[in-house]
Amino acid sequence: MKNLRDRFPFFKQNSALVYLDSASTSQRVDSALAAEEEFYLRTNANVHRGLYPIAEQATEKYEGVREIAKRFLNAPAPSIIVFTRGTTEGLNIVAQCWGRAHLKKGDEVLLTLMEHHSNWVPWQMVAKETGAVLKFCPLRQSGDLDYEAFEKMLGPKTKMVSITGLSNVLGTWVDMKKIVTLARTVGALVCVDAAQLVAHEPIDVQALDVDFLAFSSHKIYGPTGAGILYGKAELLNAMNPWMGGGDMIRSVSLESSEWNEVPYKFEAGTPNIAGVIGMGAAMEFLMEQDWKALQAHEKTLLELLTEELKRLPFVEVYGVQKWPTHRAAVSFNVKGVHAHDVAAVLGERGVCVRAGHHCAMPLHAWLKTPASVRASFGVYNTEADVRALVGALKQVNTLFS
Amino acid sequence: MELYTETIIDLAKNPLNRRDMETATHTASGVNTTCGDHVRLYLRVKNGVVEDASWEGDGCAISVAAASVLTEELKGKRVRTLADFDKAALMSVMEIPTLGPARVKCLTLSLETLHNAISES
Ligand SMILES: Cc1ncc(COP(=O)(O)O)c(C=O)c1O
Repeated sequence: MKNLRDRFPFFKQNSALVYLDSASTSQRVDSALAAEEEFYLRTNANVHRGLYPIAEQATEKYEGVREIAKRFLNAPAPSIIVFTRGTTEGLNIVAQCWGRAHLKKGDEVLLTLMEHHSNWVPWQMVAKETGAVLKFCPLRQSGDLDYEAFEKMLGPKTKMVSITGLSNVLGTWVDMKKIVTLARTVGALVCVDAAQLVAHEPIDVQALDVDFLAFSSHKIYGPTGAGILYGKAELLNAMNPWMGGGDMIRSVSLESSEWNEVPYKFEAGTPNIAGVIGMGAAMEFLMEQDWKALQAHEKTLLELLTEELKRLPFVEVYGVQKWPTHRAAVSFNVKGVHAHDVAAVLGERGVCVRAGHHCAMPLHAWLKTPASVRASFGVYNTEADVRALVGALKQVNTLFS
Repeated sequence: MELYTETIIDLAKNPLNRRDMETATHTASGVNTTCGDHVRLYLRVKNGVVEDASWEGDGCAISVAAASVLTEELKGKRVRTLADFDKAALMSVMEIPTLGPARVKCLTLSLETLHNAISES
């Protein structure tokens, strides 16, 4: 993947850096940076407002990203692509705008133990307001989702299944087809937190038949502050907006307003125009890739790291890292050393990994550790990166033992 | 700049004053939820002077070293002077010139717990 690394200008500035934190945020691809810069330098104007040529060009570019996202997700129409600030906003829109209107006392929302706080807290907030009950599907010891338990936890009261497509801690991949099939047996909707998944496999929302799906630009090599929420048209149409302001209304009178149509009713205020345009370039970058080659490369890195970590008796790995049901990220601890110390010492040696609870405190409670160290892969990572991490981990162990 | 000096690592491996204190006159607990560090601090004060100081808990090397150094420093000090013992003072004793925003809380956990212990009495 040598030529792909060349597409990331960051590594020209930081050629010696070993960046293994793409699950947190990726580096940005050159075309996304160029698209943002071009907007600012050549067609910078607000969207949906100006009548002069550059304002129209800006609007075209910006709206064109819905078309790109439609292809990226194989959505049936660009009009059901909602621009957000990221996954968190997308999931909050689903919880607030769909949940508030549809959940009643005693209704159930089924989540899993490995959800990120952004697919946890919004549902807690809505559950508190509506009296709905949250249920959490457990994991198997391997870190896989316990599908049998999942099936048993579904019932006539289950109205929504909101679930990650790929765990940001254990790298657990979720069989979404199976989840949707099971959810349909009780008539529940399925909302996918695709924050991690989109960077690691192509997604077809129609084939999967999911109802909502959210992701962030900054984890797919695009700029920060932009993201997408996909939703089925009839669901989005029936939902009330959550934030009021410009762009989301059709008409405003003294006391009331008429909402604009989907997707605009969820997009109040001047949006992150440059970020959305950059996100468009990032999605195009991913669509140009040979996914088979990307995944084969990722598998090589995952297996190399897993093998190497097995040889380090002082390292405890969480979950069973077995391709393809585990990918993208490996979490572990160095026995007797706090995760923050491990990451800080690795950082001093030029290896960037994340340490902490990775916004998944309930999962860490289950793992019986307050924090873990996580190495995660992007398309630019190499076997040399993995070896550098392993070498630095040996130094950590020497330092602290 | 190396944060993990020999001093810090030594203290992390062999913490000072990490023990329960049944005769404590002042005690308080603190947690750092982002990383799971937790500390319980004990002081035995007589005639306004700290006779003994100890702590129990767990955390990263920085927080363990900080609790060790802090409790060591407290012994023999007058309680009313303790409010002056701040982050800068602790960093200076620990020979840490600078600390990034992500790690400051590891250092200040035991310090804040100390201030709670003396203000609650
Ligand atoms: C699985 C998962 N869901 C949601 C999020 C939240 O994404 P964002 O912070 O971009 O809104 C993340 C990011 O860390 C994630 O890994």
